[in-house]
Amino acid sequence: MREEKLIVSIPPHIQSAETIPKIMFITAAALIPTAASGIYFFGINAVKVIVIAILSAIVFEAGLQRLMKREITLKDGSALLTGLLFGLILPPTAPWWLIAAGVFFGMLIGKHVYGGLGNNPFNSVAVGWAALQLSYPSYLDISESILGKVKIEGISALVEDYVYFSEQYGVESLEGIGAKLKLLFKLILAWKPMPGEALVDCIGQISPLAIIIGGLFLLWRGYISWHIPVSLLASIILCSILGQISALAVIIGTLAVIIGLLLLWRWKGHLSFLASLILFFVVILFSIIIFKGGEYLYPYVLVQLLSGGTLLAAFFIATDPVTSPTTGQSRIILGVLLGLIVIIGRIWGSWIDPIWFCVLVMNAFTPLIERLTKPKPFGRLKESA
Amino acid sequence: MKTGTFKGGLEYGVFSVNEVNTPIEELPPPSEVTIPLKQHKGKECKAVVKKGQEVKIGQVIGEGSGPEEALVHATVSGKVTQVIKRFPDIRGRYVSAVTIESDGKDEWATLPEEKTDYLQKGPEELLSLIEKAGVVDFGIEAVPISSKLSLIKDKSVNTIIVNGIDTEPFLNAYKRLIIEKAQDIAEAIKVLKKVSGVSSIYFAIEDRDAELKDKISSAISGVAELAVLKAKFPQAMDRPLIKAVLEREVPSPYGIPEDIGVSVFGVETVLAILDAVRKGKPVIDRVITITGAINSPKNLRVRIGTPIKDVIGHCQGVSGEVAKVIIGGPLMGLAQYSTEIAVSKETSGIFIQSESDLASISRQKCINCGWCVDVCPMNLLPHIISQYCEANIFEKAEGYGLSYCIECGCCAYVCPAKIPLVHWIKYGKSQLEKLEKEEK
Repeated sequence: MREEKLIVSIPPHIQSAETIPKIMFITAAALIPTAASGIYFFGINAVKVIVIAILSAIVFEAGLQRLMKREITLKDGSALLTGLLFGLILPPTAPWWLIAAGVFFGMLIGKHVYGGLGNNPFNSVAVGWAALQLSYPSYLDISESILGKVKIEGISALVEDYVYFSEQYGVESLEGIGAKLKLLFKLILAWKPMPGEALVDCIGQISPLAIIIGGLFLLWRGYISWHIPVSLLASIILCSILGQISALAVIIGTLAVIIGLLLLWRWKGHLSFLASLILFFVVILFSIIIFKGGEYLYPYVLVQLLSGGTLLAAFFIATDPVTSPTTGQSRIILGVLLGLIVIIGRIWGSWIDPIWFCVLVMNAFTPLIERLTKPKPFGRLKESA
Repeated sequence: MKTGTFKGGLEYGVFSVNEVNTPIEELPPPSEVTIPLKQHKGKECKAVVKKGQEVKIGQVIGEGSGPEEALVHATVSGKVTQVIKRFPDIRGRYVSAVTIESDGKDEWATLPEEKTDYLQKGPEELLSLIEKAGVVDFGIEAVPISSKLSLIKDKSVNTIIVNGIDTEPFLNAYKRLIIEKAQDIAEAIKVLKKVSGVSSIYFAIEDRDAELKDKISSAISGVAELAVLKAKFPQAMDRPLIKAVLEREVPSPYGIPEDIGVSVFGVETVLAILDAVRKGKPVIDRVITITGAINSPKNLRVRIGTPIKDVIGHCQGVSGEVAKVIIGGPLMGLAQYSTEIAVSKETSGIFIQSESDLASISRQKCINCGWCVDVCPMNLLPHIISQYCEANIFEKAEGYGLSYCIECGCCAYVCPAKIPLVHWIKYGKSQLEKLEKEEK
């Protein structure tokens, strides 16, 4: 043994095998079913969009890092993931220059002006999308998609005038649990076009099942925690039900849940989660009881929950580690608030699906949420609190 | 039987641990020992032997003056060849040490004799026997038993936890001790009850081994209550352990377990107490696990003062290029720059790391994934503390609980960006201390 070669350093002397490139590549792999479903439904156009998005992400990442005289970090996989995600939230009809412009904007304003991966306060995918939505809204138009139809004409039109669910899914009536479950299972597989029209939607938003498979895989690997998906989806359900009553009901209902959560957290640590769940179901029950147009509520909630960017946001974009908070409590608050503003935007806003704007808004709130929910260290004495 | 756990920590599933399950083996007395005179919390002992003097096993060679010091005994018989002023201890600081060259006879000053009347003795008498044997609570703090017992009296402690959990999942000495000496442990707990006057005793083990649980649960039934805890690191540290067993939090950052009426003793410590009162045997050896990149990992009973190169030699040497020799385990152990370092009362294991297994650090920014928050047993936000320390904003770091950190290393273990969080936190703590001193 060569004495002089012994290394002295601070513990720990071992590390887990998880690395940032591994997280990025595995998250990208979890998107494969989603990308595959998009390609299955949209064909070669979807391939084009995804490939252009990934290639331009890689080119712009390397180019910008070169320009800024930073280390080129293509190997960490974050450019690949950004490009892939960006491709998935575009419609297959997007022209190549639009994709490249969006990726460029996302990379520059969403990431590299702040110093690269880890420093960006806003999700670069959402930043790129927002730039395109504001500059070239006509290219991103999804008003012919299911979410657009529901927004413009209402869910009752979808059921009565278009007979969408009966023609495309063979679900004639929504009476009874059996028919409801049948509709749920069929919708989860994939969204279908309006009768007699071509399919219009974003590439990665067609098959809820594909996204859920990827999301569950990430949950199982521990790369995302359950807090944001669960709270966001629960909040979407809650708010879309309340939204059928009034705007005020949405806001009051959600705030009640959050304030209850915060108060209970201060009052008694882990009980708060249980309590807020109970509160959540009480609100749902209450709203179902006083809601009048009962028969359309179920398909309406399913559209809000499974179509548009909801699931992609819940599993892949709102859970982006860099721009989301770190403690379970703050993640739940983020999810609930994000669901709230998504539904407000979808019902009363002017865009069909403003979810990526909402992600940016919540990104801005992340530091505040984190500060408000700073955990109490182990064994802190009361008087020094 | 009680069960429990604490928040955070690392489950053993995340490590690739090769448990060392070999029976405890006696390491033959080395030809030369170097016994550090500071193997306890307090100040260094004064050497009471001179160069050239003949000593026998168990003869006192170092005496302290305060309550935080424990006697140091010769661990081989032979001649004192040197009283060194500057010998590196496991923390890399210099302490005095006595070098004894063995004469090979292994003679005792007074041969330990098994007595049976020890439980009839009064607490005072037992305490003096323990003091004479130089027993400390084995571990990095190494608080002398007499000092712990006086704390128990002063703070009216009513619960004692005997810790049967190894400091790290890679070390298995405690586990082997429990399997091999279950009956002795029950006796030892009786002695502990008598000497401390505390009747409520818990024996803590982890749920990962059925053999261990069976052995100890039958041995200690009626003597102590068994607490079977979910296997997690760093359960052997006082704060998580007390939380897991008793659901109580030790006041932090500066409190001690005795503040809430609890005292923790390691299982090897109570066995040493038993040896002291039953046989009059002083502490001359420790059971340590030697593992990592070594040809035959073993659990060894090693004389205090044995150079670790002798221990490594006994295990058929190392495999591959050695990069680190770590006293303790790989998660919290201290890397050494020399293999001349002696095994002391503070040594719980030796971990050899080869070049290919070295941990790396990177310049990657924190990506805020929150894994360190999930594993932190102290419920801190390690990534934020570490970033503030890195930026030299120590007051802010303290605002996020810098001094609460117990440096278990879970955060740095899981960090996917390979940020040396423990390094930054230690740096922050030392700088903060400096700032506070300057203000005064």
